[in-house]
Amino acid sequence: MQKKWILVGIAFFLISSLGLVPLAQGVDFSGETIKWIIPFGVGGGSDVWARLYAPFFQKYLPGKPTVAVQNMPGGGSITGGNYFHTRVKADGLTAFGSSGSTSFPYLLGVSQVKYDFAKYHIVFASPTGGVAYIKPEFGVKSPKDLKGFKEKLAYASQGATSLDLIPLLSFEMLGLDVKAVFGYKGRGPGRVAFEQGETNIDYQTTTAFTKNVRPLIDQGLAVPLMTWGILDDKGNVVRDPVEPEFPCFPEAYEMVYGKKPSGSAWKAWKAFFVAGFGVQKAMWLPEKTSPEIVEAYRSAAAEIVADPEFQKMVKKSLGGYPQLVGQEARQAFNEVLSVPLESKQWVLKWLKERFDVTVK
Amino acid sequence: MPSKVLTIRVIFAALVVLAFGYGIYEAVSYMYLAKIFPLYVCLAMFILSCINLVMEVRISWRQLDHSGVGFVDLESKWDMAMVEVLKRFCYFMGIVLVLYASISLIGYSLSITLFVIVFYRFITNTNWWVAIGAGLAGLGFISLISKLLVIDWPSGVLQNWISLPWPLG
Amino acid sequence: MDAALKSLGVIFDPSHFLMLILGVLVGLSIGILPGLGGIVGMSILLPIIYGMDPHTAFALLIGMVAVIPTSDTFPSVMMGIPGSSASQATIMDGYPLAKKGEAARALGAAFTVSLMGGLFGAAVLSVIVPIARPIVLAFGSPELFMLALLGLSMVGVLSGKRPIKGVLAAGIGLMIGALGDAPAVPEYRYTFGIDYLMDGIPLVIVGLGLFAFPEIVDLLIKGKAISEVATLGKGWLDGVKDALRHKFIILRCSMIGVIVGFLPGLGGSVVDWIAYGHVIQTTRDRENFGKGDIRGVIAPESANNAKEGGGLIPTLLFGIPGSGSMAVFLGGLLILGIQPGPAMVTENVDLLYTAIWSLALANVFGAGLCIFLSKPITRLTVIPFTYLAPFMILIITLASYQASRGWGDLIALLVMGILGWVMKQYGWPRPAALIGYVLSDNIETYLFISVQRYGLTWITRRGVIILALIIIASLVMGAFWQHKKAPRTGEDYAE
Repeated sequence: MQKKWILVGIAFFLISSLGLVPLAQGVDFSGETIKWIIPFGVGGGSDVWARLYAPFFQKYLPGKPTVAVQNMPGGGSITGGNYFHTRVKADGLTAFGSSGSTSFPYLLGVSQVKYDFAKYHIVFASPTGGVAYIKPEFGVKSPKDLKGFKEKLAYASQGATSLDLIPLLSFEMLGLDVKAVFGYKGRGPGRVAFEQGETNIDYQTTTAFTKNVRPLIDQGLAVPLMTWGILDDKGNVVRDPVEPEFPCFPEAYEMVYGKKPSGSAWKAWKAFFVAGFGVQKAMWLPEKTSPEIVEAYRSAAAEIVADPEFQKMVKKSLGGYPQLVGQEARQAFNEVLSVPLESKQWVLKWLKERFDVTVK
Repeated sequence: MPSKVLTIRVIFAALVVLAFGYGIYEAVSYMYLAKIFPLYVCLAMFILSCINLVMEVRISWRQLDHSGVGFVDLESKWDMAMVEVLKRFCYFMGIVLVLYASISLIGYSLSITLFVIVFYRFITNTNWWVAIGAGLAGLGFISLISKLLVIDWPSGVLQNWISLPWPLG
Repeated sequence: MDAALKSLGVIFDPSHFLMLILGVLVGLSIGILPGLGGIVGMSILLPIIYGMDPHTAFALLIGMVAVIPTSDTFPSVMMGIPGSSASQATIMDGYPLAKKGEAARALGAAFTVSLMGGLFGAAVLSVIVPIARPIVLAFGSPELFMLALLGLSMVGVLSGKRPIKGVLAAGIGLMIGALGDAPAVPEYRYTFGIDYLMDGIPLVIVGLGLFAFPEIVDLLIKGKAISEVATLGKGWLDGVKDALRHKFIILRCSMIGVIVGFLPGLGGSVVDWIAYGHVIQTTRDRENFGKGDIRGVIAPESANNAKEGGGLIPTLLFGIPGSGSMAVFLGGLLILGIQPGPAMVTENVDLLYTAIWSLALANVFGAGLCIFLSKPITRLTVIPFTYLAPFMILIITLASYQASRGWGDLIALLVMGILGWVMKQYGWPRPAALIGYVLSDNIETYLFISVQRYGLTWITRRGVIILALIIIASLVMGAFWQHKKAPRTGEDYAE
């Protein structure tokens, strides 16, 4: 009788010990499991992004290791970031995936943030685009018509310090009177609010725009205005390649005011735009990771980007934007790291005065 | 006389009053958009909890019957004195606290396995073989979940000193 | 119509069928273990579906999600521990039945009813697709606020003879829900500077802490088995008969389930309470509720299976998850390269029907397997609890930890557990606290949005007025029957 119990216990134990791993040596990850920390919940945008990439890293990292996404949601991604900063070993077996929600608190100087992107090694980055659109009843057909636009608009927002900072700032810079209605749980509910008439101006990420807003436009229920744009390799904001028919924000600004955007507001816009869209998601390795390991990851990323199957996937699920690898990713992200102090202070002041929001 | 009124029941009711009071105090310091909801809810609840406290004290003072307050049979009916219940509660809480302490010292996997073994041996009163079998079954289960969900169980002080093989590490 | 038949054929294709069964098995295992729910199941399956053909993946995912509300009845009935967030109300009458030795009867009724509720949900899903959009769009923030308020009003019914404690308990729940980040601004409330609390306390921990922990401790204190009666009484066939006798309740509660699941943002976690509260409000003979009235099992169980069908509507047609597990399901869709939205009805209508058929078939298998398993599993209610206790503690600590994977989870569990135990001993209704907690975010957010956007004019909206009348009607009905019963002591079973 007792022996039966022991056997059951041992059987259970053996079944699950199918994962005993040897220790790592050199830049060969064979037999290892790489943990990719995603500070968001399962099924969220960043989680999906990582899961779409993971199989390709499995294919191209030396030794073909298993790459597992480890979710660590909490504190709006700050908890996961802090964990990566304080607890992760620099042996190349753990990587971190950040998103705009992780960079914004960093940029704004939220006190709970312990992580510091300046210290980590970026492997690759994925940009995202956004398209803004408006209700047709205002008769606005393009940003030109926004000159002197006096109507009151309403925008469904998650919060002034979320990614919505960019649309809110964009609308403000264009001189629009937009009431930000806070509390929506994301762009999905925002789109529904637009359809319901609860709001009359909105933006969606390019992928969602193509699938969900284009039918509205065809039915005459929405009018597209502009995209935010994308960073070119010289650091300028240019037209979004996925939706090239729409002007990008700087162009829209020029259409309204007749001159290119400049000044503190523009500098702030650009910095947050890069963090929120231009280099929205990125994969990082800890500070003390050896250069060989960082190089191994970066070359794997370069090979991934060249893989035709990957390109198909990016088109289908990630918007079709060119992914940034290694040095170009680092350069692009520098826009975020080298934000002038006055821009940060300008944003904080704007948030306080316009929305009565204080960042602590 | 104090012990007639200062029962846990009354103390808890008083703590609820304090909690809502603190809620009001804290809420006042928040940003406008963040304070409305907690402030008004706490305000209303504070008043209600004061009324409730008075009612509880009245019932305790007059030693009236407390029963029938819960709607459902989920509320407890004991066939032993409340004092005995509380004693045993403290005993089991002690066990839980020891478990938690050991998790922080030797990690979750090891602690839970030992916990199951010790519990089976000394509280359920089986023999050592059954206890160890149960412990290993438990360990197998949590290892399986660890693999499936890609979770690392909490590690303890011990794991910082010596590196144990998976899954005890 | 031919799309529907075509996908039926697709489902019976061996590989899809196999995936469906696999999903059902995963869902059953997850549901049986208290504290793990749809989100965990999704997390396990998501890595597998990468690269799968969408129909196969759908069969797998939906197979899993469909049966969790079926199998999670096991821990609810047998131990008074909510199996997942959707099965909480079942503990109110299911558990007392188990204590009387009638676990098999409760389970039999529950599974029959789960099956019927699930099929109802699938049927509604198939019929409503063409008209779903305008219905969902008709529910703006003000209407959703009123619905959340309707859910909150159930607290009245659940507080028995001392409503003030019920309201206070709900208030406690509301405040626990308010803990953490405020819905719209970067303000972290009541966190005492603790990082863990920045995100608030997860639902799993509140549920397990308030219900599972006190139950485990009390069973240990009592020192016996779960069933206070030595032999198992009525069997599952009696349960099935009970279920069939109450057809109208099943119908009504399934409708409630579909509607609540259907409306984005309400969160499926209150659907069982609304159904339970509703069935109490609409009966005169309510003496036995909370003591083992089989209707108290039938109502929530039919509702929570039906809500899965309802929940697929906003998820698939709008890309807005109807509940936590739907949110993860959405992620799965994105991994498969499917963008949910209006395109589903035009481009991907065959996928939609795959979803419906998977839902229906999974419910059938799930219920069947559960009935099959109920005999051996109910034996567990007669063995001394000390055999089960350490494993229960293992499971609830594990389930809590996977919520946000930190020490904070374990400590929060302990704190909630002690709070739950004290509430249990001194007559503070915990269901009220749970309802308050679950609805806190929605109530605050929707009220917020309504006031910001419309000032005070939202009160005069048609939908708001209708819902307000429904709330008042339900409160009145609930109080009316209660009052009628109060003078008599319970010997009077007029109807």
